Amino acid sequence: VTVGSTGTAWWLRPPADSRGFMLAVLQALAPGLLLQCALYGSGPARNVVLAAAACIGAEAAALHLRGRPPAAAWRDGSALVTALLLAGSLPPQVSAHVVVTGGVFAILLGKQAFGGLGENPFNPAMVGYVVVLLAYPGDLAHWPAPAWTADVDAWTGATALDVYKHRGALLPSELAAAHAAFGGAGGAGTEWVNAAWLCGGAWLLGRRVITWHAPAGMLAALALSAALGYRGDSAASLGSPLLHLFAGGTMLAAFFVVTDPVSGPASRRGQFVFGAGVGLLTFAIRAFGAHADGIAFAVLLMNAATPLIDRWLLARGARW
Amino acid sequence: MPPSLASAAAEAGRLVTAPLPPLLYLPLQMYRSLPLRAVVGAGSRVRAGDVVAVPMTADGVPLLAPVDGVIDGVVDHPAPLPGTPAVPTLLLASAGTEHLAAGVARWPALAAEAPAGALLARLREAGVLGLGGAAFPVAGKLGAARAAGVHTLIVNACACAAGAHADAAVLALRPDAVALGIHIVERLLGVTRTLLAIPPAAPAAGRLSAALSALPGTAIRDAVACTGDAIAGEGAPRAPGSPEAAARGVAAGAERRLAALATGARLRAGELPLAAGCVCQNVATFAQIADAVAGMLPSGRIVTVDAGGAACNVAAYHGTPIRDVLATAGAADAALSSHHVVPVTPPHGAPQGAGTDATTPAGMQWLVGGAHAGYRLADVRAPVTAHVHAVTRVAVRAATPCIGCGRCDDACPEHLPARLLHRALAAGTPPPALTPALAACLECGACDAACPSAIPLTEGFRHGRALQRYAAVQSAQAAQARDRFAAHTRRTEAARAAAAAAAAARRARRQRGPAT
Repeated sequence: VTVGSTGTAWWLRPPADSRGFMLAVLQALAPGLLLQCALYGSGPARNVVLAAAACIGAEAAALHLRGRPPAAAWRDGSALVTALLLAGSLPPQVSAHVVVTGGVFAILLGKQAFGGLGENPFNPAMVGYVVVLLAYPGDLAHWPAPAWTADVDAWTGATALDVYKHRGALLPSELAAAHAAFGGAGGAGTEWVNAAWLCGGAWLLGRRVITWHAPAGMLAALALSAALGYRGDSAASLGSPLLHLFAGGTMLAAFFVVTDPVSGPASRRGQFVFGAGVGLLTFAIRAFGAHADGIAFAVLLMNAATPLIDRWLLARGARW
Repeated sequence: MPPSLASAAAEAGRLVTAPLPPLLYLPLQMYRSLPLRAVVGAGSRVRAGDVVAVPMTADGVPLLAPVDGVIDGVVDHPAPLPGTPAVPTLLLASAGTEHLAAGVARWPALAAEAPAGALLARLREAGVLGLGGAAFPVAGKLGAARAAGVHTLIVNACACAAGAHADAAVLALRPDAVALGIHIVERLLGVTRTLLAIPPAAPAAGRLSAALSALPGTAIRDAVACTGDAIAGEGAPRAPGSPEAAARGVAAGAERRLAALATGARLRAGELPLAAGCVCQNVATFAQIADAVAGMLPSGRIVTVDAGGAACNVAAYHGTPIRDVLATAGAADAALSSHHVVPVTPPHGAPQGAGTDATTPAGMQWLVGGAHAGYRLADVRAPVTAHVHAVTRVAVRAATPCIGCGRCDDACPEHLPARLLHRALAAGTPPPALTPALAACLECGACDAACPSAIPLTEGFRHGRALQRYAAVQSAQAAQARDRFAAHTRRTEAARAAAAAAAAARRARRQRGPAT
């Protein structure tokens, strides 16, 4: 008998084993990645291949050095999930060595250094992303314009969040009119990719691979803090809630990163608190920090706070 | 065991009797680590019902020879205990006189209305143990309940969801004995309410009701249908028929859950049903109580053998090797040879380097108990004892690392942080914040059923709980030794002070002496 097989449509059945969980995440990432390929050409596909090779190779090498069967690097699927998360957050035109560096650091520094699958206190993909963000800041600040825009000047340009951060005295409406980086709600192209991540995430929710707590916490905290900082069409405005929800890597993080069960809190309440912390910190870094997007930093900071959240809820006698 | 078993077996058709083995193995340790001391030496001739070992603790009961025979000595032998490979075991070479079906009268029969003291003394002298799985001495439990005062008696017939479980067999085969046992215990405890906890659609309940209505002043006042869903209440919705729902059904049979359901009280971690004014006994125990009061020797029990196909109930003497029981049930011979001894990898504690990459061997495995709450039987040569209510063969998947999905937390009927507990135990000793959670674990196996990585979580929790109990005993002993030492020091100092005072007084007298 498979778990929950009765009366559940086949495409909503929860996975039966841990490989199934990884496979479900990979499948849910597919719409976003395919859309990126449609918008930006072969770049995202190349990133996926490079990141997968780097992650699986690094994992197999580390497992071999630790005296474990290296085949697990491919078989349990977790290295591939890390690779796809990393590839999904890197711009399509970055150099190959940037992707490989990210993948290798994600696995070695983010995962194997702590004992491998299930033992990592930080999200490996975010560790890898932060390493390349700090090492190659220029490469990661630019994304190409979507294929449908005929604007040749914007072959690669600053992202919507980057443009917004350095708007100077311009009004948001003037900014949106002057730059091809903005779309209807968030970034041009990025808003559609975000919508695709959102669809994949909704499917994961339906299959009970993830629960609503962490994504709801993150999206609610981000939208709420953005709403509090929103001043309409004034230069002092910190960006509309829609811009914050549908630009950068918001939806990818909400459904695929903050839901990581290994580096997040154990209880459902803790996961909500964790997500809310990520949302708040993301907004704070976007609005007041030095970086255009702050999700990776926010996730790592909240990863560090995870044992505290668990202990705090446990001490309060929270019902699990 | 039961006087009317032979006829009842024919009626049920699914009960077979294991033959009397030439050698019976009687472990000198009970389930809850209550040790026994042998009082007979090698070569002693014993009759069925003779005391062969006495308890070393106040709450234990004596161990009786189930059959006539000659004592063959004490050896270390595999035991059907969790995490215990071998314990000192008394060997009894049987004389070959079968009496399992007919029963053997050992003591004068008592009336059901006999005084409480006489009834409790009989239960103690007959060595009656709870047959639900914990094998707690019945006399001690009922005596404590009588002293504390209880209002509700719970007749537990839902320890397992399997169709041919020993509980259902006892209900079907011996409704009169069960009814009489209930009647005796009701009178003994002076309860005002009796509940029958039974899986839904159990046909045997009707027979018990009929048997009960024939007795004066006794009736099941209420029946509790114990499905997983009835108890589960909160938590993620679960499909009926899923392993998790089945596991919840097992948890439903745990006496703490039953007491909470019967009274609406919420028991704190580690509290017994007694705290809610309830006492809970397995249905088979009631039949054995009735037998003991009638003067019959409890010399065996019904064991359910579930080898994956149709389950089979086997009546066997205490001390019969489980291998013989399996053979009687017709469990495949291949299963006996190839899974005779399965190496058990401890999930926690063993030095295996960092991480939880430790994998358990895949394959088939015999469990003592049901498929969910059962624990690994390390060796099929281990004997049948009072707590071996079922032997189940399960497929063991190889465990993979925890991915922290939280399914175990969702599945836990006691809402315990299973994932944190697992991690803490893997890392060593759980922090104080997690200790009450570990104490509250029912060992029901709901988390195991839910785990997509096939991690034997319950095994780890059981081990952790055993360590916790051991630590508690150790610290109690240390405290006792400290108190003794402090008292000794006080006494010596007092004696020394008294001597010094006396010497001073003598000196003073001497000094005054010449002056006078």
